[in-house]
Amino acid sequence: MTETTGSSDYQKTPSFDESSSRGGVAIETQPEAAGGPIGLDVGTSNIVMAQNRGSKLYIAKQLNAFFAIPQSKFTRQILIQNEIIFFEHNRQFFIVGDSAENFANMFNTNTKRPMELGLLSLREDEGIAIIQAIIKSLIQRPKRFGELICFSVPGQILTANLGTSPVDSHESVIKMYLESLGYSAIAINEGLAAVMAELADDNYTGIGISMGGGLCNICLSYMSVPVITYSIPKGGDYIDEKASHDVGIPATQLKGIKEEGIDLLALPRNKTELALQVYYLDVITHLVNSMEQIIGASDKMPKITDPIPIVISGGTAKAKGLKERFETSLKSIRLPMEISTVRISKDPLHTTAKGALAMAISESK
Amino acid sequence: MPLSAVVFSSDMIRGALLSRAFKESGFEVVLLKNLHAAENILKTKAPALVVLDKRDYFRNELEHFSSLSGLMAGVSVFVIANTPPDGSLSLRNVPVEWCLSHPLDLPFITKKAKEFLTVKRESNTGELKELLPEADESGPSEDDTLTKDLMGFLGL
Repeated sequence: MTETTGSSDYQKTPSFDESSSRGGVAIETQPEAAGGPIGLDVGTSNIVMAQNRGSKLYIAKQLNAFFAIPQSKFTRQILIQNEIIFFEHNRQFFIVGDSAENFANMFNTNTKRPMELGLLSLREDEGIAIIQAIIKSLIQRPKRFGELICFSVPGQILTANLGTSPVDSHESVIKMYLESLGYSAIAINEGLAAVMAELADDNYTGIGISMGGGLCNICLSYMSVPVITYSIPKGGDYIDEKASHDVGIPATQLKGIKEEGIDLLALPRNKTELALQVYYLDVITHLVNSMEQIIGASDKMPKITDPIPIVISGGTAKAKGLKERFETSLKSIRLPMEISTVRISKDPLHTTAKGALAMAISESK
Repeated sequence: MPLSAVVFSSDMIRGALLSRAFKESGFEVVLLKNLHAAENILKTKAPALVVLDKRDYFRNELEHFSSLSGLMAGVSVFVIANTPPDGSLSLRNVPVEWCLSHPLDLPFITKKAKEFLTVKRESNTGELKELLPEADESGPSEDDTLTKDLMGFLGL
């Protein structure tokens, strides 16, 4: 398999500059050369990198998706001219990242994903190559060999029968790739990343929840030690797919409606909003009940006398009214400690990458 | 200079919690899982405190640890357990303190460990003073200097 982007380097790096007023996308012709530790959120829906560059926090993001089109000389030329990230394999061009969604929309179909439920998908032959291509579009080889990069991994997934599914091999594949680029790679649980990003004032003690596309990750942290970590196999994708099945609208279209701003506290105006609300509440209820089941039953819990906060991050946490719905649901369960506050992280989509960066900086000292 | 402590715990999470709590309390901490590594660390690190999270260690591992009493001169052993002393540890000539804590109450554990070290130090200082000649109140003498040097050397 060869990897082609038209030149030795990727030409396009969409980036979010936190200093800009709208946090909008700034296109750079070359990824800015920079040193220092990196935080990397390898999520089912998005891959996000965070790095300190001077006095600014630099964040770059790509959709964790791909779209395959037949290979031709003409298409290659068009892709290169438009600075599209792609590689070729089996006489096909694999368009990866944000561009994949544009192509899918043009062809009125869906993108495919190299990850499923927080882990590398076994359904896609090219999954690993696609993740590698996306990561490579976000980070360069380090200036200094052995530079620290901290990447997110999910907690063990609770299945319906309360068994667990291994995440070690997923972690190992990502780690091997990052190390092949010249980094020293360490993993951080996604829930712990939320704690690292948001609970510094609480001495990194509290419950971090990352509500992503494939999973909800939960971590109870005591002074930054991840005491309890796990995930449930429900997230944004579950809401889209279930609602899509019920109302007969494509999941990608529902995702769009959801991201435009669903309000979980308002009366639904139509069946689509009703379906979205129903499945949002399903995810919240499952999440909160799992906390009672897992945290309540753990024998690893230290004695916690003071109430602790809960912070919720991730794209699925952006829905209006989620905090209130979560608080209501929380009142119905028992936990072995008191909860002081429930809050949504300041920047839900980038929290995991920021937490991973905080860990990378801390470990590199 | 921070006091050094070695934490033994068979459970990674409990070990990490104890390690973090003792670090926050000003100790320099090494965390180990395997009690068979104790011999090496006692020889190389000479810690002031060994914290043994007794839970889930096998009897043979505890027996091996007990057999290392001879390497523990100047070391205090702080045992964290769910139950009172049961004879599973038989350290000779080593100050040992048991701390019953279930679940782990980290502020209580570190406070008690510090108190244990302080009491042990005070008692050592008293014993040492009894052994040494009384100082002349008229001013510092050679004996005073000797006492201070000796106590300083012993870290008292």
